[in-house]
Amino acid sequence: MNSPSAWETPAEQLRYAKLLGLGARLGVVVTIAAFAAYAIGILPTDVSFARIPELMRMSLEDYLAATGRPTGWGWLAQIRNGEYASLAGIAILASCSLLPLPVIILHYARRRDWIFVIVCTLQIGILLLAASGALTAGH
Amino acid sequence: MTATYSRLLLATEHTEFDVGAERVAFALAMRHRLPLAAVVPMLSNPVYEVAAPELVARAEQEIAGRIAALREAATAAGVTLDIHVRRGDQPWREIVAEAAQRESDLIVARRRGNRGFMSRLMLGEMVGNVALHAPCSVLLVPRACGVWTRRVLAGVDGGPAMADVARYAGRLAVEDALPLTIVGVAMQDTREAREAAAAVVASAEAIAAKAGAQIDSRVVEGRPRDAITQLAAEVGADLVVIGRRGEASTLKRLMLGSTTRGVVEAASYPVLIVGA
Amino acid sequence: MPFALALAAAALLLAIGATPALAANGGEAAPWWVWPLALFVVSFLLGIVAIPAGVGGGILFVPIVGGFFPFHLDFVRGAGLLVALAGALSAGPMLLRSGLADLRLGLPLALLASTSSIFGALLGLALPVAAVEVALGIAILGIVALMVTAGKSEQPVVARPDALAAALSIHGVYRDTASGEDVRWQVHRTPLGLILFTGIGVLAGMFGIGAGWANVPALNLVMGAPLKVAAGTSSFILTLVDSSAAWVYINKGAVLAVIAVPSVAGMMLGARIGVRLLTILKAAVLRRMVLTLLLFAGLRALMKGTGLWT
Repeated sequence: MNSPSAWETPAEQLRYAKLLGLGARLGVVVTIAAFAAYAIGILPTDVSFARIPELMRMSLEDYLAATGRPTGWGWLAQIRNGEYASLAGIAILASCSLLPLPVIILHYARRRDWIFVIVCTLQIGILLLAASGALTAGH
Repeated sequence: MTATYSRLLLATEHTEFDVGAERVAFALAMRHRLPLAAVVPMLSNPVYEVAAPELVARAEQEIAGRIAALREAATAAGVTLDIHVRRGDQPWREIVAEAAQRESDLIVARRRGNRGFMSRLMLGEMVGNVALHAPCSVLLVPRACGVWTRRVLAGVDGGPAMADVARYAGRLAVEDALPLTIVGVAMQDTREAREAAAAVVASAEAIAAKAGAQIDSRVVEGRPRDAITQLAAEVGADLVVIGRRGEASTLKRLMLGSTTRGVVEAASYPVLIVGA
Repeated sequence: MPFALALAAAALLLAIGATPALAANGGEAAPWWVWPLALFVVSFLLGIVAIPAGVGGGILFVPIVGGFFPFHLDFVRGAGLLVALAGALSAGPMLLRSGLADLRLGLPLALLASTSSIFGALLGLALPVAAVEVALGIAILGIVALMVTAGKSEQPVVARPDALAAALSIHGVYRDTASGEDVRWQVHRTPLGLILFTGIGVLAGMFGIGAGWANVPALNLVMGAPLKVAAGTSSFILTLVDSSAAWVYINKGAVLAVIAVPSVAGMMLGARIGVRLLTILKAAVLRRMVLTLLLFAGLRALMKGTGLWT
């Protein structure tokens, strides 16, 4: 239908797109499934539903004090509870860039495109730093 | 000699409503051996483009099909077309912006809207806004019309556009070797009204005559839009030249003149709205 | 379809108007599921109007939900980041495939913006809520002003790439399907772009708002990327920026599933309807309505923060 085109999507973009899509879909499925199970009552809860309307108005600090909700990665230990199982899905969404980035680092390294190797490595570092909780600890 | 217009811009979506505008634009380009530019407006916005890439791709395929057909029609008519697609949430803005960017001096467009029953009866909203905001003159063409071959009719009143309308119509009539009728309308059946209209027509005639046009002047009575439409039929005019708005108060600056709108809506011939 | 438009607008106003009333009249007595359901409905409606109006859902969510729901702003911002992230992630892969999102253009900018978004998020969670509300109100008013005044340039003319863009070899080609032409592009003013994106990252992290409103003009008008590439790459950049900031909120405990999940789900479902409405509704009229709503929400945040209307 179209005239022949000189345009072609770079191979690394296609690979990035595929892996990002994979992670994003997984994240959405886990989030929705876990939340549904939580809301219907299949999964146990850490904080009872009855307290939710009152708790949601509190500031973060008061909320944490009132519920004893874990910070950092502490929720992982309580993943059998519905709210934290849903959080696992959200964590997948927030991590799914970590899947394609290392792959395109290899691609750039093969092309000796060192600037982009550095950019992507730093990007992974930033995401890991944010995810590690090192910056948010101590509160 | 240089034509009254030399940088034509055809605004089209290549629908059934655009065939008249396309036919006339091709004919004008051929007649004066002018290059023809075309703008095809496309509804879009950046949020939409990233939210629905598949839908956008489908819509663009469809536009691509229309453009191919438009190009083919132009080639068949012997015209080279330079086509631009412009995306935005208001098609008329894109058409006006394209005209400004290309410094076009005449936009050729359809008359009717293609959305909804009401807009088919009246001046299309998109076209109305183009006529109001265009940086140049605008030629609105009903779908069944071709280029003019018989007589030019210029409607004038005491408004600021009078001299421009007279000059434009005079040059156009000479260029196309057609007779010109200049009409002024007396809105009341009084001697003063008739004399005022006659005075306006006389000064318009003087201006148009400088171009060398062969002129027939008239003063008629009634509601301007009806009077002009009726006279056009009577004298066999197949092009009406008119100003964007009349003597209206500054309050009405934001609208297309009601006479202009009425004449366009009733026309079975192209109407040229003389602009800045 | 003006009827459908009016209906959607009325439903949205009704939903927004009803929630404070609910909150005032013993909202705590209402069953817990009223809140996630109300969030779902409002997000759904926002998702519908956002796309034809050309105003990202991520920018609408925080000021409107923060202004008219009784939830604490900390949780609303956490949810807002996820709404923006989910939106960016759902389109990202397709945009990368079609070449409208460009890795070479996006990665360096995303690196700076995601770094600064972490600091924005930390700052936002450390400041007193009233200060954040005032800042949010001012930011929203500024954003509305930007949206009204900023133009666009479908294919800006970039005579020469700057030295940095040349060194990073930031350029590309995409296929304009409508005109059937390959559009080659390059960028300039890359250092200024990097500075702008650093600032945009702070705002995104601090307020939990999507940043397409800033990304697209920065890429298009400042750096000279074609509008389509600017929009696509902006979406890609958000996948990284919002991920980094979201982690800060997750680690701080500010992401509550009961607020975030219904919002994300509502917005995604609404968007699926919204994308089909562009050619049906009067997009320009809808845009004006949505910007008015946003303006109102900005004033509300400002007044909440200053204590004039709480």
